[in-house]
Amino acid sequence: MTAWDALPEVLSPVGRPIAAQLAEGPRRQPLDGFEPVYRDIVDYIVRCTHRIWEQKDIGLCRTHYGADCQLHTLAGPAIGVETVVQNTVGALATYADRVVLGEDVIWSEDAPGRFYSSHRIISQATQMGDDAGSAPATRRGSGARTIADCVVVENRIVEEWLVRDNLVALWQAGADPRAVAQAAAEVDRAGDPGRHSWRIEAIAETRSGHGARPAPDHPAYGPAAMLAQAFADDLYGAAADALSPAAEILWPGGRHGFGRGYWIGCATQLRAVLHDAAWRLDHFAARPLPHGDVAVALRWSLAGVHGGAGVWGPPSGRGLLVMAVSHTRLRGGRIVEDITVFDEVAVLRQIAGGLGA
Amino acid sequence: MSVADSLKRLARGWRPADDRLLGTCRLAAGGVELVGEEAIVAYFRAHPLALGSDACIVTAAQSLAIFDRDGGAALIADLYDGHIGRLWRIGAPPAPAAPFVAVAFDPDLKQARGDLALEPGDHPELASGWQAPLAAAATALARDWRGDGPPPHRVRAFVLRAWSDDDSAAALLALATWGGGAVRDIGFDYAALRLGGDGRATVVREPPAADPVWSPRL
Repeated sequence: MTAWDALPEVLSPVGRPIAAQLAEGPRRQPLDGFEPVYRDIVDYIVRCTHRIWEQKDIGLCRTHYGADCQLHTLAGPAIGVETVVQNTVGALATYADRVVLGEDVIWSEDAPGRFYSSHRIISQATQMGDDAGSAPATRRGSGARTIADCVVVENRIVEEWLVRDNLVALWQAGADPRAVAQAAAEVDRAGDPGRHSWRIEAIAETRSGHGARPAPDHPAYGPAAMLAQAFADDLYGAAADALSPAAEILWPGGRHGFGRGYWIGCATQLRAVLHDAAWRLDHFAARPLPHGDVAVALRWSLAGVHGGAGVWGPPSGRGLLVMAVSHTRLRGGRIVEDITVFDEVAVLRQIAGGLGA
Repeated sequence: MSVADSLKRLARGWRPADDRLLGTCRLAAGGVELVGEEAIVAYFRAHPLALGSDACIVTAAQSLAIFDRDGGAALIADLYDGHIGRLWRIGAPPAPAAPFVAVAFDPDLKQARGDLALEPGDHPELASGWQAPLAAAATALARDWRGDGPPPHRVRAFVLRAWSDDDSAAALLALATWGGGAVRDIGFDYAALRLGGDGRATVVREPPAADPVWSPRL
């Protein structure tokens, strides 16, 4: 496992113009089995995204995804590179001018040649075509935040977890998120319920308690402990000590505030409606940022019974799963920024009886 | 061209001639946030801001602030090797608010309330000699904060950015406000603060939102 601060020449995209990021040149990192054009794992993520989405060479997915790659979203899994190709073509047919603004790539090499990247993006586009998820072409602009976590081996993404702030995306499209979730749930309830078994398995996995555990000297230790103290132990005040008193908090659905109390408010808003909750850290990574800051990526899961009234409406009694990724910026060991993304529309879809029993 | 001059040009609605403005730059203005060069340039074309040669500039390696002379507007930027990574325009007219999930929160976490959240370690470019005067000015700003309606029930200031140069200091603050009256309007407002060598403080604050909304549910 490569140390989190090894290879300082592999730079974060933070603070760098896209032209500098895409400048070609020699390798900065050993990348066995990768195309020669890729200089390091950050360049691989940024450049292949650019080639596929902006240069429209979607067929490159066939050399950049494993044939049986697994894709995980809170709306359900997908398997196989041809699914990726089809979905990408479909997205570009709707959002033809999509620009992927890559805010950061936080990565680790978890085993020799096995890379894990957490890519935070804002994909801006105009909805010029009909979208199956929301409405006929609205010609409205969209720009929701997404984090894509990928396992990459020899030039191919073999597994991917995608979290997108679909609540904001639907608001931007002028759609009603509850109506969209309700319609999706009705479709979910038809047909073979076995196709939704993944969600029950994921909830069970979250409840298993066997998650990732950063070492105390790893930068992810503090941010991970913060989430664990909040969601596993309900020690919100102790948890928030990991934050700077003036930390900036960006959570999905336009939640944007400052300070420890605001972060606690975000956490308790979820926890209040999720009874018998369980939390699990699924993956962590960290990389240096400009000005001596450190970026930490945490993928985590939260499960519970929708037993309380609150942010998601009257209690439904449903077992719910939240799949989230948090990107935190550390300065002097404290969190000065927390950007967390999860798909809240998929949560509403579960509450509406979708995605299985 | 200096970063300050590039920023002044951008504020007039002219696309930067170089790659000063990062493609991922976010602009907060009038209560909304815009992302990316195209959106930001389009915003300033629609809402230009003239910052003359007499504008006050406070600059450091990682931060830049430009205050217009009459104190009605300020631009604050995060810098990365001269590239603009993030922008706040303070004093802009409020824009229609985007939907959001409101969050119930406690800004104090104790009864011994504090008007100010300032962690000096967050601001390595703020010279130590400026810390106390800046804290005093930010505290006074919170205590004296007034909106359009009755005096606010509660105001707390969070210092998000603070830095100094040879003869001045600047800060970007977010003020959490609970409005006065039976129904409290709650939200965060940005403010920009400049302290000169003569001890005088210049404050630029956002006008109150036109139509505050509060919906902690979906």
